[in-house]
Amino acid sequence: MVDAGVLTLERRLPRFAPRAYWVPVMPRDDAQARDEDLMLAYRDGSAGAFDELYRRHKGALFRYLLRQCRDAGAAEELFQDVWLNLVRARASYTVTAKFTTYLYRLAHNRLIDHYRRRAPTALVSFVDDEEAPQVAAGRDIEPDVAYEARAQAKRLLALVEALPAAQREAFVLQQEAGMSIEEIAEATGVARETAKSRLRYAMAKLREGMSEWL
Amino acid sequence: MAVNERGRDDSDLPADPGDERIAALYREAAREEPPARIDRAIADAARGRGAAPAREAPWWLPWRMPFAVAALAVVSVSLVTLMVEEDPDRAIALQEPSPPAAGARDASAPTAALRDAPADMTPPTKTESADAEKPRRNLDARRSDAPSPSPSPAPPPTPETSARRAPAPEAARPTPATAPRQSAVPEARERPQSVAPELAVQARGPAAAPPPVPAPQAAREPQPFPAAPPAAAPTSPSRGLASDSASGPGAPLARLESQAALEERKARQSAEMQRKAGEPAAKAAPPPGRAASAPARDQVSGFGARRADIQRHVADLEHEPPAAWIERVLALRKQGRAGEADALLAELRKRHPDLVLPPELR
Repeated sequence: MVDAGVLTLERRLPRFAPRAYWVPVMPRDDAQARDEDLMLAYRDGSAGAFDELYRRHKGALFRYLLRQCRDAGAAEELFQDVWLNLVRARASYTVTAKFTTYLYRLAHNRLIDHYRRRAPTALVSFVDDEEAPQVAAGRDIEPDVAYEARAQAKRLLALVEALPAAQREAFVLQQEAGMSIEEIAEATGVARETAKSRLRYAMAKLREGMSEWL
Repeated sequence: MAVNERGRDDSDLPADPGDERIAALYREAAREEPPARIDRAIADAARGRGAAPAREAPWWLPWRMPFAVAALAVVSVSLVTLMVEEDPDRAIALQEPSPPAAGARDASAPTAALRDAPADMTPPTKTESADAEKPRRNLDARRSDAPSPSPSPAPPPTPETSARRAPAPEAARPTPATAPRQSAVPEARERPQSVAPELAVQARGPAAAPPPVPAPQAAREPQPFPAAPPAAAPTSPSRGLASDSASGPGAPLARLESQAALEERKARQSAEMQRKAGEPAAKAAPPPGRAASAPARDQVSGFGARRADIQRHVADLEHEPPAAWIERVLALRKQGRAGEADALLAELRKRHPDLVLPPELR
């Protein structure tokens, strides 16, 4: 998973090198640097690298949490916790995977903790559930919506929220974080085939629900 | 970099034209962003920690162990000092080395010089003794169940000191010409331990003199009821010590005064308690120092109501052996003056805590 560039960077910045004699090697343009390089730079003391990382991933991560816990207040709290966990764990960060996978694994674990703390009645199952309630097809969800595009968007979000948690997570990770099936599997801690199956089921349900507009 | 692009290796998913449309619709619909306040909080946290990657240890951290050791030492010294102040005899008994056989008095210079003052020195006045024994008396006053509120340093009822305190009647009587006016306890402190069996024998009286045993054993044995002393006892070098341990002529006076003060305080306390309880007997209870009627005195327990009587008994029996005290207690009980008998018995127990009482008094 670690490519040659990261290894080169690590070789250039030995961990035992005295900090007084070198300046963290920052990419010339933060906007074009890879996430992993930015995280390494932040680990070595560059606050600007963190700002760039945060700018890139804050929206996607927030929406991922919002879709999963379906509560704006809880999503904000979880969002903050995830980033603070990242800040705390920065000293031990090493490039073992894509940064996005690392970040969403933190978020996934935090979500699991959040679900455990909730009331038993509100438990969310991450098991594949084919019997989950389906969103009724048709236009009766928002009959008064003036604009069709807005209606389609709302309809799609409602369908996403109606997905089982595991399928929803796979779908949101693919759409928000741009993850591949392997990365989804790694971030959620399941086998690749499981992640692939979840994603396929999710897309099938969404296609079915949006069939009128497709 | 757009993060919500389609993954690279999803080629094994069946390509459906509707999927691209769903992805586009989702990107249009999902536009939620975290609030600005959270952005600021996270940025602050990241910068605060990014500015100082390694947290420095607080200044006091290296001093933890020395501080802990110093605090432990202070507490230990305080405790030992407190213990020595409260029970000096115990500490001295623990620290006392094996005494030299002779010349022990000469060895301890200042206290011995004080003790060896001429015998015709005026007896210590009340203020003098009070000044000298002020801290000691304060401690005694705090302990209400202390053995005896004597002005001289009252040793705790360790076996050794109680054996020494057993009166030798003929020697304890104040003879101004011969008896040295010294406090009993300093003498006992300076006295070598080899004298202890002798003292124990003398405390029991010549009639019940057992063969000499080592000092700790003799002191540990419960003292049987001593026989009445003979009219005249042979003088011996140890009798002077015994008379010292019995106390000089000034000591009974001071002891009686402090005892009177203690009794007065107790009487005040009991009268107050009775008054608070609202009992009619409490109204009849006279304040200390004022004569009260006999029934009222019998209702009030303790020393307070019969202070004068008890003082009289104590003064009578001051130099008598415990047998005389017990006879007096029994006589008082026969007369129906149970309160006085109990008070007198309590006083006897204070003075001789290791005394084995006869069964009728237990």
